[in-house]
Amino acid sequence: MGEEPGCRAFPYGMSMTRKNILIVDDSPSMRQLVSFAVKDAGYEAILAVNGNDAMNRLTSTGIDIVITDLNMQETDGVEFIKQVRTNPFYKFTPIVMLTQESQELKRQEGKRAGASGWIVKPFTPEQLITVISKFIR
Amino acid sequence: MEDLSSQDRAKLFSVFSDEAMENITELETGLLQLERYPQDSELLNTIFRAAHTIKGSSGSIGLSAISHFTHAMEGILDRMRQNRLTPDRRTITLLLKAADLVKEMIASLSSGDPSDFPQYGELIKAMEDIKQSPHDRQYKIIFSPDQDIFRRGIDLEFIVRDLRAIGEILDIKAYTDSVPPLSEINPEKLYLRWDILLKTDSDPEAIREVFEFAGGENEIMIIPIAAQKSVIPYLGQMLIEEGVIGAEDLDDALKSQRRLGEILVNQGKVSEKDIEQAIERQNDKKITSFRHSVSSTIRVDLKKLDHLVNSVGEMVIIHSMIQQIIQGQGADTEASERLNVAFSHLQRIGRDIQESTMSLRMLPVREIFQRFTRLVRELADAKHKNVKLILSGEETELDKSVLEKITDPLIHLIRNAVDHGIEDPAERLSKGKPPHGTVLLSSYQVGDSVYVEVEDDGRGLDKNKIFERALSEGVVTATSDLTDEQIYNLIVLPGLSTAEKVTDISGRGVGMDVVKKNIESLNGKVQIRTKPGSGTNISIKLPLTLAILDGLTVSVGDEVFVVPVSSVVESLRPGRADVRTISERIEVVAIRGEYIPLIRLHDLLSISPRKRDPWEALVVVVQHEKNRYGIQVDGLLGQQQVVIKKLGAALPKVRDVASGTILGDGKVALVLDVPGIIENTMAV
Repeated sequence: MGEEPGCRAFPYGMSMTRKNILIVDDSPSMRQLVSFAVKDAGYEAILAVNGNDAMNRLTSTGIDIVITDLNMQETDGVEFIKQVRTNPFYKFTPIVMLTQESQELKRQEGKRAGASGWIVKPFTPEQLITVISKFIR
Repeated sequence: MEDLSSQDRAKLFSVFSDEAMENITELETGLLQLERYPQDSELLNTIFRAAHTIKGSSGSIGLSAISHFTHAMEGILDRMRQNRLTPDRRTITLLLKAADLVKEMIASLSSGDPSDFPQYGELIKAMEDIKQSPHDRQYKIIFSPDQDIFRRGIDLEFIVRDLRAIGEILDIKAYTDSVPPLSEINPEKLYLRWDILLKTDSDPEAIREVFEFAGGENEIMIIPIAAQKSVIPYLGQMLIEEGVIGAEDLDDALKSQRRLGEILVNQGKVSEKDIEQAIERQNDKKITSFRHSVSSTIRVDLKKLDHLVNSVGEMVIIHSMIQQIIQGQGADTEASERLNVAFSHLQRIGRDIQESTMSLRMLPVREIFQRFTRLVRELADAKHKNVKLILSGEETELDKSVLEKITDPLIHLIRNAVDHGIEDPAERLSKGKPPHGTVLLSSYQVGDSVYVEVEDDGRGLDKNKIFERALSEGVVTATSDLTDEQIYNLIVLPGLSTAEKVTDISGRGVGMDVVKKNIESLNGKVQIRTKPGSGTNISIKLPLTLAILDGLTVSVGDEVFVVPVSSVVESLRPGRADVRTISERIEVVAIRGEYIPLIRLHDLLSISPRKRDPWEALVVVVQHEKNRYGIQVDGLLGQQQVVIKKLGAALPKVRDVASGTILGDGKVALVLDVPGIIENTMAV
């Protein structure tokens, strides 16, 4: 998947003035939905198609919050969260999980792995921004 | 509304204002009770309904100013019902002020525009402000987060920020009891827990949302707390808050504490059953005390009632006329026997009707007593005193007209008690009294009299000050030999206020003398008892009703007059030598060495008497204020209860005559106006 228009090519396409949100989802439509929502709210969106892709973008500081799907084909979302927490740069970075209504157990698992919060699909852009704003300014 | 004639409109307004006044009274008493029992939702509903009714009916007859105003009041009350606003003193004071304005607006219906009041906009704004005030409820949030919360990327600062967004954080207390020794501290872990006191108008759900990700179920507790908590915390609560004991310790201790009833039972003072019954009675009282605040009444025009009383009075008289006729005929025939039996039934029912008719005019003193709760509250506030008004005997009934006439005197007495009687809290404490003063307003019935008493536990009257003042006013002489009680009763004389300075509360020109005059115009008496340092009791004795009077029937020439027994001291026939004329004008009669003015009733009323000279006729000695007077009459006929009747519209005010009555034999007699006669004669 190519970069969405509007992403800048500063370290890994991150913004220096705005908060950078890493969006991890293997569904293009979901990535796009989330990215439009956060950009409308004034954040920068950095997109990753799976856990590995995301980990590559987390090699240095710059990401302010991670939004990740829990069910991805290549990487399990909970595993991904655990990996993020092993990265000293991202030990305390907020991670928001995108989950299904029925995934209460998975949510608890994610929380134990170090997820900060979650949002249940389907959600409106406003709900998404509300949750994000609970963790970053 | 435009289609209505002005007459119909006036009628509509008058019906509305009667109804609204009743509602507003209910609202007022309700509010005062609510201040004491803020949790009483039933009471709150009653108050709400009262405001709602006024709003509805004023709106439907086009009084939009009143409707708009009561709408604002209703809004506040509705918020209280929803628990979004606490009935604190400030809010209740505002609502009481609003109720006052509604009263004024209603009163102005006949004359002016009800929206034309300077306070109108001000009060509406104040009510809106209270309604809008965002910090309505308080919650205690006990937040004991997971030690690993930082590793989940949660920044607690954001929680504080989000809490601030929905309310005001009054207090945050951090508990450090789980912080390990420095060597064991893991800087990535959180060892603190917090108690947060939050004032917000949001519901607990909104608070929980703030902690949605930060706290699991066991990590966060949200406890609503009553905003009007007493300033002084309970001992147990303090100890817990200071960490001296744990909550469980307190629970244990409280469990071992026994209730009063239990203790009494164990000591063998009472039986378990006694306690149960007492608790039941206590509950009953709670219920009836509420019911009393909502009386079910119908409104009847007082004129109709007076007419009924009048007719019943005449009926009773006719009954006794018939009785005299029947008795005169003798019971020798069977027909007259049966007539006798039937008549005695009729008489019995007649008496019954008379009694219940009289009781229609009777109102419980509660009607006026309850207003005083508010009066005392305001007076005490104004004087920065702490005064509790205790009402007792509110169910005692008095004739409506008597009730109306004692309102002002009572206001004055209560003002005196709060203003002069009750000391400042500091002064009270220094005298070993409780800081809050007590004013007891009580009423009870003894025989045909009703007593209303105002008693305070203040400083009492100063005997010396009263005497000095009386001396300087020339009321007494230095040599006057007066008992303590006589001295205290001097304060009812004009100009004898002992208040050191005139305040905005007392000393408004209505002195004790006016109180006494008002009470005496009701054939009542005022009695003052006081104990320096411990309080004053002023007792008002009133006749049960003004419609019936104990009368002494006297004859002058062919006429019969009634003298109210309440003003009669004695009657006697003076000796020829006892009657003298002084200054060639004023006739006096000596009674046991004291000369009192003599009024020849026949001269005054221009009647030719049977006996012209006092030593042949009789002198009825009457008391008016501090003095006695002799009224000369031909003879005494007897003493009887008479039903007072107005002279009618054709004779609005006749000199020397108070009213008329019909005697048992059907004859019409006039009731003499003793104070009027005395004033008229002495003025000449």
